[in-house]
Amino acid sequence: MQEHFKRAPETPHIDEIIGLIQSRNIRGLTKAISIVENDGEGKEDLLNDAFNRGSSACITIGFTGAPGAGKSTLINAVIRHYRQIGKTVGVIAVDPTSPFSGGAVLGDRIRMQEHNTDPGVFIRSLASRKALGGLSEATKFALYLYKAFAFDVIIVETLGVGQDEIDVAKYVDVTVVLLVPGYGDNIQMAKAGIMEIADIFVINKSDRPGADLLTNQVSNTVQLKPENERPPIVNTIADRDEGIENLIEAITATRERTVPHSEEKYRQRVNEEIRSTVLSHLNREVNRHLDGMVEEVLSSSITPIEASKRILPLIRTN
Amino acid sequence: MNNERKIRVLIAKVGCDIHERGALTLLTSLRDEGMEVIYTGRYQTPAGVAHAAASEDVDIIALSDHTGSLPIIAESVLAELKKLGAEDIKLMAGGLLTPHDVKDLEKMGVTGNYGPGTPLEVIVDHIRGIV
Repeated sequence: MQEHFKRAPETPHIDEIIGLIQSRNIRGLTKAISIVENDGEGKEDLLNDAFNRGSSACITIGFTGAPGAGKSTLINAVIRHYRQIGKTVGVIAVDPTSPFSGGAVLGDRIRMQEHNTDPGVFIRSLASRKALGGLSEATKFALYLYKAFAFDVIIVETLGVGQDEIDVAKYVDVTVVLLVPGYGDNIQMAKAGIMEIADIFVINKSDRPGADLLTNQVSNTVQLKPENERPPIVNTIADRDEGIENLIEAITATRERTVPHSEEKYRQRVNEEIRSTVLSHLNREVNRHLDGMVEEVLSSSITPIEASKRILPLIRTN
Repeated sequence: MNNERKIRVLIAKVGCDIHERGALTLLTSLRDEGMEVIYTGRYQTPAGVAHAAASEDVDIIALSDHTGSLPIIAESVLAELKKLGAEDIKLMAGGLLTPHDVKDLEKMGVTGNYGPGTPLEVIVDHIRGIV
């Protein structure tokens, strides 16, 4: 009677998982992501293998924009269109972890449920956990695994808050920034960061009042760029499937336009990957010693500056 | 924190039941307990639920239903999980349950079957104990 619930041999062996990924078995991919997410045993072997086999033929697209802009709904429509032309699609959807309980509600999937039983679509929700301001480690590494799995199209949906929306641009071929009417005037447009990373602007919910004004404002902003670098602006109404074809065309065109710079971008990406992996290791190591040092400072035996000096030699390198 | 393994739960509703309050309450309550919780939304198929659970690599699926169909739903979801080679994912059920339903569910190996008014701690403890 307990037969259904015999836990399948706990976590399968790493070689077994690598084999499953090679044979494009979804269970292999999903177990691999869990190992990477939990910093589990064998993580490095998995990632090294994935990195060496990663396909460069796939196109990676990042979707970013404020919460409620319609990222999940737009992605849902984009998946539908790619499926119609026979492309396989992998989605990484990131939602915030509560800084208080450490828990998370991962709600992006609910907007993409029409693809639940399609074997050509794989959606995985990740919680941001303790990202060091930016894209979480798990998101970066899941991208390796998705590439090794050789989806035709890989989509990353960001939290849409803080540094991660800027960070995502370094890891994908094409960055789509979603804007919706009603989020502020053209002073917001002038703010740095989000407007500069866009390869494509999408004005979603374009049936809403203020959409034309917003489109004009974005258009005025991009006029300042040289003509061949101007990001296209696409108007969509994602839940009515309007404007999606234009968006897909823009994505394809952007990818082709940016191919000549792809080597430079790849170099930046590798740079960023090495740096962030080292930093997150350091962060873990520092956290390991932090409480003890805090006690010493509180008992007034040393200053915080002295404490920080004392932590450095304690850092393990492996 | 980085090495901590989080419990992942899929809350699922299969079929034509509109009663969503229980599922939504559990969704936020389990989040507050530090778990990562995914909700399928209403009107799902057993195959859709099994695929979502396998893709998300959850530890357990919590089925919610108030139409008296939990044993049938559980049976179909189990069959779909098996097709995917994802029998390691556990199942529990909540909503309208007769003592007879509970017996049927237990026969399938589904434990943690709770009716209305069950204290949250009971549900949380069950999940922590089983995964």
